[in-house]
Amino acid sequence: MRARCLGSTGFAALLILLALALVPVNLAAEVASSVTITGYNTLYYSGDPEDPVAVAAVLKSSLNVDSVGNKNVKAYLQLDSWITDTVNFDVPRAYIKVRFPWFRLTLGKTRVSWGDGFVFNAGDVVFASMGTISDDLFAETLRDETAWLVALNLPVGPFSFFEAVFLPYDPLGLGDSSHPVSGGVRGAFKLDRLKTTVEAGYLVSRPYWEHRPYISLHGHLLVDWNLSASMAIPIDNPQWRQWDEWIGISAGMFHLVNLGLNRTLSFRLEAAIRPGAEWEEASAGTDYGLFLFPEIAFSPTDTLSLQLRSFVSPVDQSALFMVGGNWNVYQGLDVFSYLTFMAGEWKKDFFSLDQEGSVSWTAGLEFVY
Amino acid sequence: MTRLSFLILAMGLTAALSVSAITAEEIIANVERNEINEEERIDGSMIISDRFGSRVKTFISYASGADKMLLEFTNPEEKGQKILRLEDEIYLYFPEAEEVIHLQGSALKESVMGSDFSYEDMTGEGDLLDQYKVTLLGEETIDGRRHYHLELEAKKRGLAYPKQEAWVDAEYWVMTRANSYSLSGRLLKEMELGDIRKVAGKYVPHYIIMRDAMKKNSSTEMRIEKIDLQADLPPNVFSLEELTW
Repeated sequence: MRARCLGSTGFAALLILLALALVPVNLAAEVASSVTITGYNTLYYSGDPEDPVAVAAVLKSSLNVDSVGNKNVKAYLQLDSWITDTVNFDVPRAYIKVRFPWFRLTLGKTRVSWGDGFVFNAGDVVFASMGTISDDLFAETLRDETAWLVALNLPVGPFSFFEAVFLPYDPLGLGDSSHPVSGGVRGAFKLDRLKTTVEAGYLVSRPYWEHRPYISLHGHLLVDWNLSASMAIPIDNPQWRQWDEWIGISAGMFHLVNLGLNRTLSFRLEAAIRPGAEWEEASAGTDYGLFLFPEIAFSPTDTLSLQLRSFVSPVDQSALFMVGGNWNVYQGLDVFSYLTFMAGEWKKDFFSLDQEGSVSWTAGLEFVY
Repeated sequence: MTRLSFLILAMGLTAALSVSAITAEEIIANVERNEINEEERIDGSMIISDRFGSRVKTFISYASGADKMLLEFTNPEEKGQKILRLEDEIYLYFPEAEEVIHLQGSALKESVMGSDFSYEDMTGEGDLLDQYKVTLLGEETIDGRRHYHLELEAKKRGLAYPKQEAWVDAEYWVMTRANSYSLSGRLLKEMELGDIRKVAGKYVPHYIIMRDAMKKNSSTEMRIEKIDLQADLPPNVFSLEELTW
């Protein structure tokens, strides 16, 4: 979980926003709101030889305010706060969507998800979703980045569309801050006979000074599957001999098995492949060419779910595991607990016990109202 | 035989003939004619009860014919989550992740939001006569009303319920009770429909209770709060655009 610290001006602005968001709740029926409060304690191995064990307690609250009643206009505001021994705030979503007769316009900060894939998605050329995740592995959605954008969506069939996106700021915040603008287009088409959707697009990223074309396919053949490939080609003087360093491929499958009424077992396996990255075991922190994400989820009842998730680095044979469970006790109330741990050689492997948070146990409650 | 007793006997015979004259297929066709609408909008709620109490989920659904439906949850816990059914495909939309999930095969039998309804139960199984061989077992009186007792056996594999037993109100053409069985004949679910009201010339049950026979103290009640059978739905309501709106 990431919180963005705001200064005193930001904090004041946030309070004003909060007040503005709350006032209409009581005055008009055109607003719907909900609050999610998640509180948990984590006991973790810190990696510090002098003080190896640490405790963290977090209370996250999320206020969601959205407009209702207008069929052609939607507005949404999400205010998040994290309370530990300090207080941090963020506005991960704040947008307006307008539906015109021929197209749809989105303006503001929201999720833009290009390509397909639960964790690894080479088609996501906006957020480059090809890396592993080490925090909040129990979350329902592991990729939840949002960006400031203006998007124009043109439907051309029940499941086909074109979309143009303009991103005025660097979504990752790691590129050249003096040239933060990106923009691109994509098209998605459903091939009914093949039960496959084909999506292709292109993004030009000024913060990273790259052309980023991609293609993504997903469909169903015995299992749900997806396959994406993208390139990040330098705009200035590209050395085509190094093409393998620019390419990223992701593949995934998902299958759900029914074990009697309301008892399900699901399997997911995803792979991130980068031909130009390291394919032989090297020092700690090396970015390897292959990572896998296996997941098994079992729901013995409608209100209980158990999960095993893992990031595996086959090249150096190390892994990060998460095993946990969630119980929906009453309306809106969930109790959860999970354990994460790394398995790998000390100070050598991609995942190993010398890292902060390499072993942790978390337990908490979530209430939505 | 007096003239009066002859008349009574003749009327009785005529009634018996008229009963036996209707076939199981005609009964199902009448039920589908009554329950399938060109365009409808329903505002409803689902009350899921188990030993820990009740959970309420509210929704709005739009339907056209037997195989197109869009359902949107409106309660805070699942607000904005949508289910779209198009013929034999079901799509789920999760607004926070902006993620569309395509369900096929056994995933359709999964419980919807912890209820006793599966995705197939919620969105219908399409044309019953295409999928089931129906047999009229006889007539029964339930709550003082004449009902037809039917047996439905799956014609093909992969349906949610290989065998069903149903009771149809002979006047309203509403299935007021139905039991679903596994292939081995084990009772899986019991369904009861009631509070039948006449809406736009059709008889509409305003509550459905589904009990899972495999779980003790568990039931899901679906209530219709508002129904419009002449809803003027937008032309693209059953599309990706509407699903992700």
